[in-house]
Amino acid sequence: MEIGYFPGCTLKTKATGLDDSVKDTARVLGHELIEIPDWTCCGATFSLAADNVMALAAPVRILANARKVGDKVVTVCAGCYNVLKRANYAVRHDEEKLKKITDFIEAEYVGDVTVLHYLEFLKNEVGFDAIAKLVKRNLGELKVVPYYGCQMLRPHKELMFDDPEAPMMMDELLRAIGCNVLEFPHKVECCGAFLTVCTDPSARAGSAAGSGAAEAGSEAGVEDVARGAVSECSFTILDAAVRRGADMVVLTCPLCQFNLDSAQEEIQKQRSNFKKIPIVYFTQLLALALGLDGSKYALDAKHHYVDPSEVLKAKVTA
Amino acid sequence: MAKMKRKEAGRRPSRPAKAARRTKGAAKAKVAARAARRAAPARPARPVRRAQAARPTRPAGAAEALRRAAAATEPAGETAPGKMVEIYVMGKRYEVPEGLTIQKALEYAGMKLLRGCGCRGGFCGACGTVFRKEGDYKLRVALACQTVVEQGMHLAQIPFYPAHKKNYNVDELPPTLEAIVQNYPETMKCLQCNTCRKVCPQDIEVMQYMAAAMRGDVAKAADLSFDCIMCGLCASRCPGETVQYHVGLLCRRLYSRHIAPRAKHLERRLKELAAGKFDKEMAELVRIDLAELKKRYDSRDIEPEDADEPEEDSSGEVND
Repeated sequence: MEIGYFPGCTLKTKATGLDDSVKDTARVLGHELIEIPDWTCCGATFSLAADNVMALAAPVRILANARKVGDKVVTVCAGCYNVLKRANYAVRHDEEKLKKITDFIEAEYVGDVTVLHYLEFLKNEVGFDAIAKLVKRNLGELKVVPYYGCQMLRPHKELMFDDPEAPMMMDELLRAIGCNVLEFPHKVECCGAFLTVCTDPSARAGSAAGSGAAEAGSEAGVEDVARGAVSECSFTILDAAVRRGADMVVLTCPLCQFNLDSAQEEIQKQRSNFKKIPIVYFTQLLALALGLDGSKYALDAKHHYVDPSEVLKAKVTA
Repeated sequence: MAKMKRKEAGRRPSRPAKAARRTKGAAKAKVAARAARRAAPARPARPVRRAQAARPTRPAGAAEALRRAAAATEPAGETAPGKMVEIYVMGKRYEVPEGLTIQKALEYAGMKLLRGCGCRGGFCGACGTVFRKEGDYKLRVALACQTVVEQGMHLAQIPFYPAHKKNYNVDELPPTLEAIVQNYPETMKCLQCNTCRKVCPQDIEVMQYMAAAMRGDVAKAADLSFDCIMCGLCASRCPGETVQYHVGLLCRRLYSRHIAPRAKHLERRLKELAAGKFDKEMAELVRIDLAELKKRYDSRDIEPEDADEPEEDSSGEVND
């Protein structure tokens, strides 16, 4: 069966392993994910200003384009899922807003596309039991903690994904493909999110105009504070995972992946006894479990700050 | 900068495959079909311009363009002598003969075009114009040299837009998202509202190439923006203050410098030039007087049969 697919920009740049593993695993499970026509950036964050209609133009146009493929669209990036689903909710519950946006983007859309996270798609359209039957490799030695982050869970009223305080969907899938899933109370903690790209706007305006080193200095200062906060948030999550004896943290959000992965160098500098732990996408493990060629999905040192390949080699068996 | 431009011009044959295909004989029917499709009565000048713009760099296109540019500067309005239309130029009313291009109408009204007028052939992008029709709220855009005046047109010329523009050395930039964001950080303020697409007189998918640029797809951004004539109308209407046309140009430069396969015939020609193949002819041109030089220029053969291009190059296959 063919189904509309919205990859999002990050899956075409930093998270190609996520993109490839989603498409390939869907194919093994009997579904062809078709990239929806003329997709653009979704906006990356959902605007919290209730009257910011402009920010809804891009996601609603994406949904209108998705309608050309079918009545469902699958996405896997937690950020894109959050934006598309909330935009859909916003226009479904506000006819005037919908009219304003469709007039502006000059496209027909009536809110009739369902936005599905790939996890929801696997659970509801494929079934975890059916997936379990197709498992080709043994992941039983692999101790994993699922990490959900914020974007796919909250606000629950709009996303209706899973229990926002104790989600289990990824736990269930990882169990279905044979992983040793550990209970993980930190699965919905914040990783530091967009603080990782924080810069001093005044310094950036200065450097854009080509001015000197003084602004560059203050920019580094702000960035240091923000990166420090990301390190602290990430440390709480990672340390809990390590102390539970996990081999890796498994997630679905490229921003969480970047934060949790890239922060570890800095954490280790400050806490010499900190043990590094690889961060992988659930679809990468799914690809391995379904017998796909593991070398195709960026599970290596080139695409990770903490290389997951050795532990996978040791613990995933035929 | 000048050096870089020259290098850039030298590499023009190595452009995105789509544009290269357009210039091939086999694609001519497609070009004609496109032109015919666009020959809507509401936009009488478009088919002429599109036909040229579809193949802007090949010698064949250039010759055609010169002929058409010459035709565009001919006095028009002969088909309906005496019939006048009212137009408003920056709010002031003028009566001009029906059938003139906006550019000719401005001149008929007594204006001397020092800026905002370049090639008169729909190539240079200097004569970007915003207009509105009587009784219609919609702002429309056109190239003044390619669009015929209509009764009740309200016109404003946008000869230049002071958009953010960077100097960079394309040799030192990687063909990546980082290069785009470093030079034009405002690119990421794009809201994908598509306003740029609505004002593009070249019908380019501006928002789409910006979307490609925002995910670092330099090749796609270069391809989609290929027909851009740098009029700047996209930037003039952008709520995110992005500079689409300069981002597109950066992507085309990055593409041609770092991604496109090199044109072998060009490298051969450069070697021949360095070896002095045309030194004798060049020395003669320098020696002769101005009158003789003008005479030779006027009688030159634009597409000489003996252009000395090897077979595989003229077929375009080398560049695909």
